[in-house]
Amino acid sequence: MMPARMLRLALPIIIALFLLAFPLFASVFFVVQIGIQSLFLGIVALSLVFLAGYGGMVSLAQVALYGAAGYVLAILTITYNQPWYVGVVAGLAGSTLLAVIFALISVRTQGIYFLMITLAEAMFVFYYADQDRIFTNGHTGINGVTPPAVGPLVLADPTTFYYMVLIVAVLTYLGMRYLVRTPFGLALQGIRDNPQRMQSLGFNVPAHRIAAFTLAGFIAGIGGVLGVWYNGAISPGSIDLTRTINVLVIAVLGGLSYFEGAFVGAVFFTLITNFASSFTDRFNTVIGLAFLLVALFFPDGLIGLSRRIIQLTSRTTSGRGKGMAPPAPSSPVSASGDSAPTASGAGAEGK
Amino acid sequence: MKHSNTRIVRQVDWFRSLMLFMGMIALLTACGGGAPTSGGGLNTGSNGSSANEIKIGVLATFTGAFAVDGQDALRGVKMAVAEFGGKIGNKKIVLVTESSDATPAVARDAARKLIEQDNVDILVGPLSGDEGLAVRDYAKTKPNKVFLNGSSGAQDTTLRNPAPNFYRFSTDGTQWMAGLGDYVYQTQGYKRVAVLAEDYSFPYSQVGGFMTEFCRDGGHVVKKFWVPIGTTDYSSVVSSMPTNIDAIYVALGGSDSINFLKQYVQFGGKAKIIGGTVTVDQTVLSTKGTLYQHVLGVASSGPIADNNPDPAWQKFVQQYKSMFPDGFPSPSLFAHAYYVNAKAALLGLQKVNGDLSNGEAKLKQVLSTLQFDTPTGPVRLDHNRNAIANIFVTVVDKKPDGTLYNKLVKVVTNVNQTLGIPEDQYLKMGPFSRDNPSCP
Repeated sequence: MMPARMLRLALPIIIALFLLAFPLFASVFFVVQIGIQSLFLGIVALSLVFLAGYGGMVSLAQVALYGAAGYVLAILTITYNQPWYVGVVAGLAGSTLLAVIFALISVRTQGIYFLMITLAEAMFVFYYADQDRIFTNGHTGINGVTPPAVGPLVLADPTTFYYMVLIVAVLTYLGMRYLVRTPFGLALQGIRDNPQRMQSLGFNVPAHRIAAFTLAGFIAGIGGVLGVWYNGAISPGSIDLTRTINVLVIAVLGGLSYFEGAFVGAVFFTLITNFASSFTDRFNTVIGLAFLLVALFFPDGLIGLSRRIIQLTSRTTSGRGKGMAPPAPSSPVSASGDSAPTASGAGAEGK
Repeated sequence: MKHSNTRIVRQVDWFRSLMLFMGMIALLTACGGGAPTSGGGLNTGSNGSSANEIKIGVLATFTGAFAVDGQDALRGVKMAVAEFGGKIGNKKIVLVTESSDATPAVARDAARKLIEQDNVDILVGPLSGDEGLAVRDYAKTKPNKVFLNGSSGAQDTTLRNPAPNFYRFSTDGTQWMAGLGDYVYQTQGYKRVAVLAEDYSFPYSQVGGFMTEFCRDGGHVVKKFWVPIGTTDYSSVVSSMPTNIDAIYVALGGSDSINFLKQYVQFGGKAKIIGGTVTVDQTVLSTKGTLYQHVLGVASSGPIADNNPDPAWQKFVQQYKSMFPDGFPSPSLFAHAYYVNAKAALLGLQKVNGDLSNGEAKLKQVLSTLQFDTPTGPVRLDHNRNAIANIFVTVVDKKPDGTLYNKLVKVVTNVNQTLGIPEDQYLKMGPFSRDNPSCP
C-alpha cells in the first residue's frame, strides 16, 4: 500500500505507545513539567480549537473559564474543606454555568467584536479574582491544593497523575472528534461558514453557538481542575492576560483547524518556554518569532505543516499519478495534484 | 461524503492580520523586557553536575514588571561568586539562571526546571513575596537540596509552616520596618496616621511590621486603604482620606508610589508621608517636579541605606560599580539580598569543602549555624532559618547638588523575625492581613 496510508494508520499507534511508555524512559521533570503541563494546556487549547476551528468563534475567555473551575475547586476543598469530588463536580458546573452566561452575552457578535467581548469577560474574571477578599483571597490566591487519592490511586504521584491526565486528554480529544461529526457538529460548521444560509435552512444559529460555547467551557473547566492540581495553587497570575494569550498562541502554533494541533502546540510551547530560557534571556522573543513564522507561512499550524510534508513524501515515493490516490486529509487545493504543493498553496486555500 | 473531510477552516483575513499584529506586539514587549546582562556566558546547557563543578541555580524575574530588579539580583549573585574567584576548592562554580514573571506558578515551574532538569545543587531565589511561598512549598518536596531565598519578603515563608531546607539570610518585609514606627512616633511626632498599601502579602508584612511598633507606642491607625497593584487613579482614596491625621503611611511600589504622591500633592493634601521599604526608593526619588518638596523628610526603613558610612557597605558599593558600570548608581536591595544569600551558600560550601553527599547534609548543618559579616553588618539565623540582621531607618534628604537621597538616621541592630516580641506571643497575634493588626 501507499506509504502515506501506512503512515496514517501506524502513526496513531506509534504516538499512543510513545505516550503510554513516556514515564518509563523520561525523567520525572519531563513527565511532570513537559508531559502533564502540555496535556492540560492542550485540553484548554482544545476547547479553543473547537470554538475557533469548528464554530468560527475565536474566544479569549477559555483561560477565564479554566480559572473559574480551578477557583471553585480550590475554594471548596481548601476554604470549605469539602471532599475533592464535590470540588471537581462544582468546579466543572461552575465553569459550564459561567460559559452559558458568557455565551448569552457574546454569541450574537462575530469576528473582532466576539474576540473583544470574550476578552472583556476574561478580564472581568481576572479582576474579580484579584480584588475579591471573601472567596478568591485576592492577589495571593489559594494555596495548598493537592491532587486526591482515589482508593489505591495516589494522584499526587507524578506517574499516576500523568496517566490520569493522559486518559482525560484522550477522552476529551476523542469526544471532540466524535462531536464534530454528529449532526450538531456539522450544523456548527455550517454556521461557521455561512450563518445566514443556516438560519434560512431553519437552524437556530444562536442556540447552536451557545451550546458550543457552553461545551467548550466545560472542556476548559476540565483543564482547570487538572491545572489547579498540577500547580497546587491558583492565583490571579494563573489567569491573567499573558496566560490568556498563551492559549491562543498554543492553538495557532498547533493549527487552529485540528484537535491534534492543540496538543502539538502545547508540547511545542511548553518545550520552548522551558528550554529557550537556557540559551537566551529573550525567550519571549523566540516564542514571538515562532508564532510569527507559523502565522505567516503555515496558517494550518504545525499539524498542517506535517500533513503537507507527509503528502509531499508520498507523492515523491509513489509517483505522480498514484499520488492522487490517498485521500488528502485536509487540503482540497493541493489534492487536485497537478503541481507539487508548496507553502504558498496553503495560503490560497483560505481566500 | 466523508465527514472527516469537512474540516476546512475558512481563514478569515482579519484574524490573520490580528495574529501578525499580536506576534509583533509579543516581539516588541519581549525586546523591551530585559536589560542586557553583562558578563554573560553563565548559562549552561549541559546536564548534571560533574565531579569538578558545583551548580547554583538563580531564580529571579528577568521578564515582566520586575525585570530590572531581577537583573540587579543576578548582579548580586555574580558579585558573591566573584569574591570566591568562581571556585570552591578545586570545584568550579557554575551559575544557571531561570526566569519567573513574579507569579507563583511560574516561579515554581522555574524552580522545578532548575532542580530537576538542570540538576543544580543549590537554588537561590525567588525575588517577590508570593513567589517565595510557592518555592518554599516546592522545597518541601526536594528535601535533599538546599534552597536559599532571594529577596522575597513574605514573612510566612519561614515563620509559619517553614521548609527544613529553605534558608533566608536576607530579612523579611516585616523586619524591614523595624525602628520606623518608633522613629515617626517619637522623633517626628506623628500620633494619628492612615495607611495606604497594595493589596497582597508583601505590603501586609510591611504594614504589620510598622503597626506593631507604632501601635505599641500609643499611635493610632485611623483608616486603611488597600488598592490593587497597578492602580493609577487615587482620587477616591485622596477624597476619602481623613483630615485629622498627622501622616499617611504609604506602602506602594514604583509607578504606583509616584502616581499617588503626585496626585496627593495636586489635590492639595497636607498630611506628611511615611514610606514603606520601596515607597521612596531611588526610582521614585529620581522623578522631578512638585513631588520634590513633598518627599523631603519622608522616613522609611529597609535592609540597606544608600549612604551607609560603614566601610563594608562603601566597599560593596565600589565593587558593584566597578563590576557593573551599566548597573544602578548604587546596588538595590535586590542585589543586596541575592548577594547575601549567595554568599551564605558559598561560605557554607567552603566550610564543607564542596561536599554535597548524603542529601547535602553537611551543608545544611553548616548553614543553620553560619554567622558572617555582610556589607550591612553581621547576620545569623534563627531556628526557623530566617535571618537576624541590621535594619536601617532613613529620611529623604537633599544633596548639595539638589538630588534626593535616603539619609541614614538610625541603625536597628540584630532585628529578629518577631521584632523582639517572644515568638509564642507574636504567633498568637495571627498572620498579618488587611485587618490585623488594628489600632484605630
